[in-house]
Amino acid sequence: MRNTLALACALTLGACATSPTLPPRTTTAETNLHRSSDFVVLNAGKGDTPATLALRYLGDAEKYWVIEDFNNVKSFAPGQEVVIPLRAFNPVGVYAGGYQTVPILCYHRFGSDKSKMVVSPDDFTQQMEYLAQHDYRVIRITDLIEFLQGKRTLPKRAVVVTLDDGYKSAYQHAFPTLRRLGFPATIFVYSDYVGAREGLSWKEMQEMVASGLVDIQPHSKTHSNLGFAQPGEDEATYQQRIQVETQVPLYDISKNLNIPIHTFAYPYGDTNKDVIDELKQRDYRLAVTVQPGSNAAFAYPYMLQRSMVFGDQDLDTFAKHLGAFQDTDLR
Amino acid sequence: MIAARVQRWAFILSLGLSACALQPNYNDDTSAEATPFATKSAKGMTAAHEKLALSDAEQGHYADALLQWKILHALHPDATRYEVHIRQTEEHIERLATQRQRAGNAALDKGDYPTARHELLAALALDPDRTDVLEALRRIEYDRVWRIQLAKLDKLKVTEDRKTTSTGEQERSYFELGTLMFREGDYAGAVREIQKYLNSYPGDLQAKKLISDSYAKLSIQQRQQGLLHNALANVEQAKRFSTEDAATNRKAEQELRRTLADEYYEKGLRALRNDLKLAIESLEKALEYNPLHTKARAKLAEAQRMQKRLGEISK
Repeated sequence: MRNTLALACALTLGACATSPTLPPRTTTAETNLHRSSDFVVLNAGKGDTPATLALRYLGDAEKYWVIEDFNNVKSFAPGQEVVIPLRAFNPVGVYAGGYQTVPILCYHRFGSDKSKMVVSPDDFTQQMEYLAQHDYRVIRITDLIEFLQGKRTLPKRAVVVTLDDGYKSAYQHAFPTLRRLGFPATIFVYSDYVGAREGLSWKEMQEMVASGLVDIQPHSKTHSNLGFAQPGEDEATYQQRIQVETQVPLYDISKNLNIPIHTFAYPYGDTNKDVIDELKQRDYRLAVTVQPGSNAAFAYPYMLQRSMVFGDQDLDTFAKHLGAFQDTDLR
Repeated sequence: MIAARVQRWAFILSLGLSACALQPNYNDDTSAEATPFATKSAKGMTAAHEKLALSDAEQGHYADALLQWKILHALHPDATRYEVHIRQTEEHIERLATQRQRAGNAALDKGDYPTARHELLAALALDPDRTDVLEALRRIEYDRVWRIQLAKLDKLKVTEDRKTTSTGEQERSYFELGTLMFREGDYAGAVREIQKYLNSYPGDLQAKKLISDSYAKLSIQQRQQGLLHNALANVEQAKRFSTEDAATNRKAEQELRRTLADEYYEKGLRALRNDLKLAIESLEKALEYNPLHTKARAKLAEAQRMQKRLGEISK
């Protein structure tokens, strides 16, 4: 108790001591706008929305979610107080009540004859609409690069959509829904499958990339498992296979689509240190497995977890993949 | 735990005392609410933010409290009390975060990962800018996902001992293993595993395509080995499971049938000289595989005539 009182007195005295030098702040009485180096605080005017305020004060209307998330609202009444953070205060998303995690959904094939590995177009549409209706924000997989460095705040309830293998059904069934909802997605293709009977063509991929929503990234050359040497494969041959499987699709995609390569999807989700070293040498920034789960800011960038979405799952099961916050008392 | 509670209350007490000491003239509006974002007067908003800051600190949410003080400082840049609260809260956060980080590192040294993870997360919740804490947490996470990966690879390598926890997982593993075997050129193994999967999901087009392709590849291998009957049986299976384009398998089947018919025809021709019964059987087989084999049909008619004549002579 004596220590407590001593500490309280010390803090109180400290409060009376000379204030430290803080950045200068401005107040604009006419607009009831208050600005510091950290925040803009204002009363919303008629017609102000998170997007218009984001454009005005953050320089980008697409950052509307920064204002929505900080104020915990979707719209403002005229006169309502709005606080706009001017910098990322918690880019790692770790709070006293838990921490942010980003689920990465993994689809494969789409078709009307749904089964475990084939999701029906109707189910996919329903799942994407579920994301929209429940305030999930579908982000690009590249947004994770800086999040995982602790440099970038992501929206609350951020989620990434990925489609593996490069089936033509991604273009036929998934792309129209993604385009309608404005959701970005990454398709991981293995280059030997491009142009095959049920595989995407370069032309289809070019069209999807041109939409600005779809990113194409490597999923190896032949879809062979890179996690271990095949029976009868000696070490030198295995190392050569790792090189071919990670380099050839990089070259093919760059050449045919003229887009940067940043993320690798391991065939069957399997990897090891040799494969990861090769990816690092090739300047891949991220790599994804199929270990189920969501990713915190401290996730290992070359072994990001993904949750497979199967055709026989109902919407409740789908919703369970969407863990965007891990509750835990960190006080 | 007790020490943490004492520290929290000491800190709250300090904020309360300093607030009293430096209270500006906002006393004409006391309708403070916990949520500061509804439409209200500037004074009301200030009171609401103050209440929120104290409430956050009381609950141990110091990083959130710090934000509230900073918002208040933006609202009242000339009120030094908020600068004091900011400094006090930052110092308190620094002290607590350092304690939690040390506790986390100590647990890490002992190999107590759950405690280390919890303490390091607590440090980061207090001070999200601690990059060394983020890195330490990443090392723990790396170890965790890596152990899962190694366990999976071990399981894949010892496929005979595969044991899964539920029917769905087991069937999925059949499919994954079948796909893996197909990639590795073990087509018979792929057929076996995918068939197990199809027993549960007979309508899965992807699995049907994979088993069809496996049968077709197996057929090609067997044909190269001269095992034409097996090759034909497998290409027929490939055709049966074809989901869309069966033309390739149909063509392969027809070629195999023609080849087999030719082989039986040659065998029949050779037998025609000394074993009429074998010759007729072989030529019938040739026509069974290729009913349009006109030479075999003609030779069969010839052999049958010879057999009839021999029968008449023996009478």
